[in-house]
Amino acid sequence: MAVELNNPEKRMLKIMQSENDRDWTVSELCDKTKFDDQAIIVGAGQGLVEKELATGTENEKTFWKLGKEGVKANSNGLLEMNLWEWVLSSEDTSMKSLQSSNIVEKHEVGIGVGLLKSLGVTLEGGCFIPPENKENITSILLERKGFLEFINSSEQGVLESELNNDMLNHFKNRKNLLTYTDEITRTWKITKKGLNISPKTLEEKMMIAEITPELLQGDSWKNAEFKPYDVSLESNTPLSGKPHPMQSLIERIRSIFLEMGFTEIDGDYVQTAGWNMDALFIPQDHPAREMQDTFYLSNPESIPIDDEILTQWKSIHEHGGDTGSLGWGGGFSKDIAQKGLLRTHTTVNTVKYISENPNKPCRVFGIGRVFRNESIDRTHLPEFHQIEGIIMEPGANLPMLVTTLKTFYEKMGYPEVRVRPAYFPYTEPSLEIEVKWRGQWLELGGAGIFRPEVTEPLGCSSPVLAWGMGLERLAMLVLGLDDIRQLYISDLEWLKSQPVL
Amino acid sequence: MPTIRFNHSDLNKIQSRFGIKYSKNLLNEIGDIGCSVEENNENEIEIEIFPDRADLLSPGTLAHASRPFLHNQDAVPNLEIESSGISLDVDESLKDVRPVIYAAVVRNVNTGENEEEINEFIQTIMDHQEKLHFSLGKRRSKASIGVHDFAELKPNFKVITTNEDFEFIPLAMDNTLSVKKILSEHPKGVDYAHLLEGMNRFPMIIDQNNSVLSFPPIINGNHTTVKNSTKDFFIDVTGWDPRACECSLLLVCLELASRGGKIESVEINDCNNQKIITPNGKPIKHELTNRLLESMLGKKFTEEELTKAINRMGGKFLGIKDAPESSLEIANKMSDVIIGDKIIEIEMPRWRFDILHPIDLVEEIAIGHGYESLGTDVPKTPLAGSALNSSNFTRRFTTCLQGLGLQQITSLTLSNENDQFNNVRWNEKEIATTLANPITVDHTLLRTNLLPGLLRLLSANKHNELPQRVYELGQVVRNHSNKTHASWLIASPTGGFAEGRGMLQAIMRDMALDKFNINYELKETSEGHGPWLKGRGAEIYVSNIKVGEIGEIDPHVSKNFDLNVPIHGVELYLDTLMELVQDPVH
Repeated sequence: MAVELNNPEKRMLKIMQSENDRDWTVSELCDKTKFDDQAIIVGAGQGLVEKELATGTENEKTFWKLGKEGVKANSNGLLEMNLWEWVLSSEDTSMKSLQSSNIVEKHEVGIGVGLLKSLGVTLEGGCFIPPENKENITSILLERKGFLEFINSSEQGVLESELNNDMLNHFKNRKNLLTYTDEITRTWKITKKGLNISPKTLEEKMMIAEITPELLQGDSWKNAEFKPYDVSLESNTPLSGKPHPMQSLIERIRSIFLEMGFTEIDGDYVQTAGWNMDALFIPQDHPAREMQDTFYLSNPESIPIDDEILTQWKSIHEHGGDTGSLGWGGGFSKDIAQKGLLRTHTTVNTVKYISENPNKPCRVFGIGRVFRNESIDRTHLPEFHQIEGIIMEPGANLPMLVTTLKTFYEKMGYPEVRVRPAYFPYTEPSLEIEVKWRGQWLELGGAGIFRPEVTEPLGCSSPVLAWGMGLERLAMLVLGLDDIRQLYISDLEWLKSQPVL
Repeated sequence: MPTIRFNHSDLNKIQSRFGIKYSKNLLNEIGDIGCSVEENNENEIEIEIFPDRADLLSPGTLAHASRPFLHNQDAVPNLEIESSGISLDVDESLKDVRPVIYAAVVRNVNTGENEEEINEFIQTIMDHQEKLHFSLGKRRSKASIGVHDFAELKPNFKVITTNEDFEFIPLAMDNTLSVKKILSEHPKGVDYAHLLEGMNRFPMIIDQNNSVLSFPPIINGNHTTVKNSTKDFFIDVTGWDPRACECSLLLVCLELASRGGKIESVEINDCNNQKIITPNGKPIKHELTNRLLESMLGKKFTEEELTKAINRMGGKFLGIKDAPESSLEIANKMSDVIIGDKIIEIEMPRWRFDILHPIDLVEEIAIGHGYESLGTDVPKTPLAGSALNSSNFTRRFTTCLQGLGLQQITSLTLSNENDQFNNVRWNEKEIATTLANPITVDHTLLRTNLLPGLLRLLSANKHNELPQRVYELGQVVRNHSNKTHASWLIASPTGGFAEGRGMLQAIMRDMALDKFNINYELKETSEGHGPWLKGRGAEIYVSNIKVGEIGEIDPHVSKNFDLNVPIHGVELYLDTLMELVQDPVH
């Protein structure tokens, strides 16, 4: 059976075959294989064990080194040794004399005296008296000194098993003389199966990390191995060119209209009050027409409208003209009608389209920006998008509008739709559309049939079904936004994090 | 939209007078009549009233409409009115001052059991009046209402005009004030003086003692103020619009009648010396052809269905009759009656100001019947939909920009002179559309180019990492017409003009200029023109027509936007470019 081995495994096994029946440590294998990185040996060793070509042993070993005080003792002499020498060489061995000498630091006096006493030195009448057998103490102290020197001899520390147990226990009890580290040491031993792997199998192959054109132009790659990567690791995410999510939403809505056989129309932001409002039978004293709701223009302050149309609107507003309506009563100013403004709804496009095509059955739609005199805050902007669709044909009726709306919203992904009565000055009947969005009813648009005061002066004799909705509210819901400003003054990190809709 | 808020206990008191067991939960369904319940808690309810339903602006009037709509009671489209025997003479001089003047008396109103209830009642009446002033009265220009303590008055009444020196004690004042002073100093006078602008005679309603009831539409006299003891009321409505005045008067009377008041009429000798009796409580008889109803709602209605639907909406179905022989042969308008039509006769309350046309009756029946019970229908005309002519071009262009790794952004159309012109050194102020009533200095005109908005966006993103590669494709307004532009900006430590030039080349190739051998060239911009660095900015010409500009942004310009990174970019006039290139599929 062929054994699949990678290069490090091959090299490691080859080394181990050279001297069977022995344990190999990581550092020995590093040495022989010339791999600098111990992790390669550990990885290869693990691979060999898995393939039963080697057995592995893990030992936890303790290494001892000198601690802070140990280092000091090793260079300046052990505290008790220094004291002992002082006792032997001084004439005055009183405590007082010790304290005035510079043999020990003040804070070490207490510990030193304790150590001396434990060696058999007594304190009588304030003086240190050595015991009879002085050589015994000297040899104990020399042994201690030798122990510390031995530990200091190895940079990575000395294995606990190599140390004198009594000495170790003695120094373990003394503060900061020694420190230790636990290390796992691994060793491997070749198995019989490992010994039987033929040298040919152990021939190493070229290992390829990055694939370069030069490499692929030659043949060497054919017998080479490709270094496997850790596919679970994350890489850098590249900067990508994406649409703004609101634009994507617009595109989806455009597609729905086009699928449903609607034709797209557009129009200018700059309009007259007449087309934006008077044509839609919005009375000239309607609150929405006031300065605080609508942006009027200083350039162009007014835009002329054909007097025939103005006269028609005037009679409709004042007394219903010949539509059979009572009209709004009061006066109608042609000057007000010719005032320039920024369109407040896309319905102005629609009504202009009807005026140009009053009797051609149609289904048209428009998506565009509209303007309201609003201060900017979390939920308001002075401009936003409106979506509007109309159906004009003989026999158009309210159920046709409701059915079309339901199809439209179903295509958007909201199959549950309900309608309620509503009010708009230019539609009758009027309705409000609500859809079920993630379990709750949500108002998502208005609709209705254009009033005769709107359509009849344009020469249009078929009912015009219309509906519209704002885009930003839906965009905020879909994107989970609580601040509408993010859509227009976007944080680029936020935009980057958005899905493509 | 106006909002009303009141206690359940108040409405309960009104409804129990009409034998209704009050249910606050049922009230949640009132929305379908033409309003929207905003809040309905233990004690109070808040309802937003649609602007056309001025007949729902108070607890009593809302209760009146809800009785047939929610509680299946028979609708009462009329008011019961007896004569008070009181008269009001209007001087001829009112013709040009405030010609419409109506009045009524309501006696024995149950204003409440205790002081708290009475205070609440007075507040309700004042709120109702203010809401009517706003909706029907159009801020008192079409109609204004005065409500007075009848006990303080001595009938009969006169309406005269005075000069500006005429003095009386106005509401909530201790001393007399002249008309002139009221108009210039009294808060109400200041608010409404514009309604009497240019007049030298002023309307004044006075009683037998020559005491002033009211100086319409400005303020009442002090002594007629409604007090806690007031049970009998005198109401005047003055203005210019007879329908608005009539509806306002009826709705105030209806509110007081819902609290047990008995309405009495006043005989008016108007400014044209005609005698009229107000208020007129009789319903208005409307006619609607079955043809309009059925074509609009896509459904035939039985008489039973009509009776039920119309009753719910507060009216009465009277019957169906044939169209007269003299009717038209072909209908051109929704209101036309033609031979063969059936005419549906309906009585609706006179205070339904919103019924202007038979189409409004169609909606009444649709609501009364239920929008969701009308059935389904689909459009019949075979039509193929099509996108805007420019849609393929803009789609292709967007694909190119995104392929170049640019993030699309959208910014506001509203901008200002500094950003559009001064800060970027494009001097085109004369082509800008400017606002007459801007609310902030940041938004005074419409953008003529997209690039300044992109600079603003980069400025707002200074804290984010580079490179930043953004584009916008959208509408600008030049000479008051919408134009489609595209712009990109790249803020990056590397790249510069060469990168931008390369990107432009890619775009031009992908938009098929190379394929059709359409020539384009770049000409260095003159110094100080546009946002570009000297020697690193160019105008782009296609077939010798300018389609945009490209370059590295001058650091002086960047500084105007508080930016200090290298930026290069483009402004392209897509409408112009589209005219000059060919569609590779055509």
